Amino acid sequence: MNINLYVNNSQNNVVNKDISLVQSLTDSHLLKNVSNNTLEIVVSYNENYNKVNYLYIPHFKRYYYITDITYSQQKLIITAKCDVLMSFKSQILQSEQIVIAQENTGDMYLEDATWSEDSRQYVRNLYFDEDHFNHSQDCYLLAVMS
Amino acid sequence: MNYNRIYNSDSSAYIDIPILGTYNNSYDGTRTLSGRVDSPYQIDDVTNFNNWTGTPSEYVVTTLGNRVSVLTGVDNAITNESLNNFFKKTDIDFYGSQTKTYTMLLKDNNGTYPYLKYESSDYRKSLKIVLGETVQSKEPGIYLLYRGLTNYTYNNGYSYKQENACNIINLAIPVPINKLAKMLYDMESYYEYNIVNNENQGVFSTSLCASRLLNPNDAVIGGLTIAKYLGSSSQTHLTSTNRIFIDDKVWQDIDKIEEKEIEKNDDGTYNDGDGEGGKGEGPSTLPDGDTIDKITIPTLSPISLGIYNIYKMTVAQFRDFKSNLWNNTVMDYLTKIWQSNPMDSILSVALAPFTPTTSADTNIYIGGQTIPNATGAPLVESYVYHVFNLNYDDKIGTVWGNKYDYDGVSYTLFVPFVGFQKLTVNDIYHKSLELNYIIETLTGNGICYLYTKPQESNFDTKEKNRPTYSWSFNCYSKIPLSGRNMDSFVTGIISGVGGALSGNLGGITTLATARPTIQRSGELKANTAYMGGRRPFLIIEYSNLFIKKGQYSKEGRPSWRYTKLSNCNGFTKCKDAQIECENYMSQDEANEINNLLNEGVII
Repeated sequence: MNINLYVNNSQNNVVNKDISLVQSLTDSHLLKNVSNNTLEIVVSYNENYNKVNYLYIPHFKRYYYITDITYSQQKLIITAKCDVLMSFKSQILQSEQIVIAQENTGDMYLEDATWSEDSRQYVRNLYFDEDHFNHSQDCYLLAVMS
Repeated sequence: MNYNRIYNSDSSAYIDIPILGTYNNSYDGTRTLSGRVDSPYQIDDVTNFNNWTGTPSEYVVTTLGNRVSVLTGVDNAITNESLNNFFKKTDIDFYGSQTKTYTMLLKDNNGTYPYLKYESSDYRKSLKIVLGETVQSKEPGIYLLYRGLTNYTYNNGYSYKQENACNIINLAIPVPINKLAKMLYDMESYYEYNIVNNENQGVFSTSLCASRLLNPNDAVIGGLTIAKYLGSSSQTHLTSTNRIFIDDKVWQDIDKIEEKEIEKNDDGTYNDGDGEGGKGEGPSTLPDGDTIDKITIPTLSPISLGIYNIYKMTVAQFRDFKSNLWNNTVMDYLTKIWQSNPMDSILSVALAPFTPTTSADTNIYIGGQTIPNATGAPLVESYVYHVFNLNYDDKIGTVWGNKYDYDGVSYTLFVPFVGFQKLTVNDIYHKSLELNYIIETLTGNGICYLYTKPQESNFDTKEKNRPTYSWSFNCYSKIPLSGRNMDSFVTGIISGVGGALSGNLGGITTLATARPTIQRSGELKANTAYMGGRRPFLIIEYSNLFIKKGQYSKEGRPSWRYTKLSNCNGFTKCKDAQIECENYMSQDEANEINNLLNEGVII
């Protein structure tokens, strides 16, 4: 079975992972399905594999996180869990969804948005332009019946 | 971090600043620099620019200083003339007095695409950026525009563009001015890294646009265009990078700004959410509404009836009046007319906080009798009208660029003769204020109303002018000549008529001191108003907003859009995500994807 071993430099929640190919193997074989999306794969030992943390199985069309590597009889047993984000990134990116938060754009005036404010306040005073009632304008008035 | 700091021979250093002008990079590898150069900065050559062959022309136009507008396009059709015309329009745009829309059309081998639209008015500018095919309004500010990747095939030494996405802006990211330089550097690093790792041939480009005038003290103004070309699979790539020069001291200051402090200056973006408005059609169904007229002075003037007169008097004139009022002849005459209370002929004596319009001094006339040797200037109008203006939005405008511009602000207006009044934020924000006073000159009673005029920057462009608040007051400080006081006073005078009180009008003031008429008659309020502040002012209290470091990259900005996820960038969180289980995807995998999208992913 063919597999490609990578170094993944991205966080798990990144859809399009930043990966660097380390080695393409043709002699690996599937040991067992641990669960629906977790596999164990056996590959020949190579010390360079210590740094790999990601793999791709073309036959399955899926990318996998390497969750464990154990050594046994000159072989490496790799436990891998499917990365559904990378594996199905095309479908994900082409899908239309209700997006409630985005990093670079949004409606900053939404009522349910949350920021924090501390106890201090900025206070600014602004005079109106005119000063019609300045004390220099005061006067005495006498009102009488004419 | 290496900021591409360049050291001079005297050990002083500087950082790159944008190049001004137009770059015309031809197919044959020749390169010309031209364009508008009216900045104190110099045109400089690009760095690391070698053998630009087989690519379309790349135009970069950047200006600095008070005219900031940056366009980047891959376009053979743009001429210097068209660019100059655009900038001329842009200048008009920035300084103009009418709402105008200018569209810069970029043409390439695949057609013509609208690129940027600037809209402006006499007060505040708005910016509309064409993102793909969606025109989005943006708050005035500075934006980095990410353009789409354009792939090229490479054949016989020439490249051919495969997609027409090159002119389409995919993303417009607001840039805080004090973070600009760092963002430009980070962006450059990102693209270089991205290209190498994806092993694609293509042009990545970013550009910078600004929709407001920038002040000299903004320190860093500029743009950066990164156009990288991978000419072949061997990854020989060319780089065209505008240089950004920033004085080293300035840069060090920028470098010292902590992330938290930078993030506080939130240039949040805005979109209308692409919502469907529930079952209704949203604001389009609202009536335009009417402009409510200002309250005006009553057209009928009681003073014109001649029943009473009001005289503006000096202190000397008052003394003359006092001296002559108690003339026996005058008092006898008044007593005949107002037998029970002759002082009813005097309606009031008051201190007024304004100077009314009067005619020339004449003799004072009471009950048909001229008081000898007593003069005053008769008022010609029954009302006094004054207006105070405060163009508030012009002085402050948007603070945080988010909902805290409304939720986190309180406004208190000091209204002379009324006191401090709390105002509702939506009544005030993005509006100019006009405080109108109408005062009745006989009593000193008046009304004051706040007239609000929405500015161009108001989100509701159809909101009209209207009176928003009104208060009533009395602004006179009355000298106690009320009827009750005068009853006893005049009665005493009458009983002792014989000249003993002649010239003794000082008794009036003595009486005022001895008898607190002001309090009893409830005039304290009026006198207090007279003694209060005379010039209106606005007190604005702002919350001290705190944006956590990396908040937007970890939690995103608030949004509520139904959109294709490929339109999103960075941290993206969905609600009730639904990925169709198709092709080779299992239901469990679809469920896991939906859960991840609901928790937030990075696109």
